[in-house]
Amino acid sequence: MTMNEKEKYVAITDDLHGFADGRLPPERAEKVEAYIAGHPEAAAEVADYRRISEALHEAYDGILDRPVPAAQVAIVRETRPRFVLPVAAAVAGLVAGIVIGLSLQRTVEQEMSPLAALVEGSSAAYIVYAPEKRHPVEVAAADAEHLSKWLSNRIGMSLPIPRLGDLRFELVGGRLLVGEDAPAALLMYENDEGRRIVLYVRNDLPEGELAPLRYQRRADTGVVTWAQGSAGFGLAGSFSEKELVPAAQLVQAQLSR
Amino acid sequence: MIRDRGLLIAEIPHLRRYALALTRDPDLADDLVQTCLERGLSRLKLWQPSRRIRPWLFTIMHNLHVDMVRHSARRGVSLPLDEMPEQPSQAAGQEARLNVRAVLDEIDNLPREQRDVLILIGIDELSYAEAAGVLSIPLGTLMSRLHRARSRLRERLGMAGSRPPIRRVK
Repeated sequence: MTMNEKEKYVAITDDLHGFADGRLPPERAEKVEAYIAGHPEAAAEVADYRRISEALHEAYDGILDRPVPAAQVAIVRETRPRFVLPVAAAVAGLVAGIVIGLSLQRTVEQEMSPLAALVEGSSAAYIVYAPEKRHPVEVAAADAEHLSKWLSNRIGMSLPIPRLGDLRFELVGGRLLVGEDAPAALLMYENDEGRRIVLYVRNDLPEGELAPLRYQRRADTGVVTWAQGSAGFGLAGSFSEKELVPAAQLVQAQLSR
Repeated sequence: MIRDRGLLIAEIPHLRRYALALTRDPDLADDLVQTCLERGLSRLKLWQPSRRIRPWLFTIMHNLHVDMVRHSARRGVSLPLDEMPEQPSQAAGQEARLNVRAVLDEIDNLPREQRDVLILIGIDELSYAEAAGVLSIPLGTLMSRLHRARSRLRERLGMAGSRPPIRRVK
């Protein structure tokens, strides 16, 4: 080996690895290929490097095709409702109407109390809208001022947007829902883990209701409801009582009138 | 955020492979994946979506594994290295392949820092630069460790000097 060649060889040690691993840009790979064509020892090195990696692939690639344990997926999904409705916003709206409608129908049939109807309405709204990726809300947080005016007008009560930043929930936005006799409002919040809660607000309760905060579970959705006058509130999400009640208190404090 | 969770789920098979290569034990690997997912979720906000999520997750897993090994070493527990994942039954016969088990055993005999590099590069998930990032070492260090690891394996496995068949992989 001449001095020149030796220098060249040392210079391309990294390239032999890069070549073996298929990580060189094409021009560079061509040069290395030409080089090893004339240097059997370099060719042998490259081949050996590849055989080592091959052994790793042979031992471990099989797992790529094996089913992922449900427990591992569940860790990631944990905070999401189990039954995600894979529907576009329009369909979601329809479904919301049906779900909420059904729950209201049940209200009539079973003479469900207004507060029980609040629970149903809140959890239904959460189940339908919280999993929405593209269209969770009609009006986004950027238009919070407009959102507040619009919903206030439609449900016939002042609805300032509560701030939940202290609990690390930020407003996603809101939408109008089908209520019982009047429209209902939905505000959605999301925390930094991507977990959502919805605030469901109705203004069609029998006058004179005054109900304190109450936590209930519907499947894996927690709901805190309360009422004041004709206004009924429900805060729903896949959270424990310990997590949800403080959020409800924060909302209640800001919406008391 | 929900989209990010989807990304995370899509990474699970790759995390499983990396964990298995690190631990060579299916149960330990599952534990590692589980802890890694939990850790990843709790820090998802720190991940910059402009960057690939895989190197970010692999960094978490690498660090967890370092802790795991340190912890078990301190407690005097030896990590089981014997249980091999089932091997694909497909005929290996085209050429003289290396005995997979022998290679894995020799990899385990490498100094830890070389083993880390060799596995990370060998399973072929990341660029060199990304792998260096995962291990928190400069690229030059990664390349020299890779070279030392592979040279040592060639020696140990009696490859150097033999005339192996040249086979293109991918």
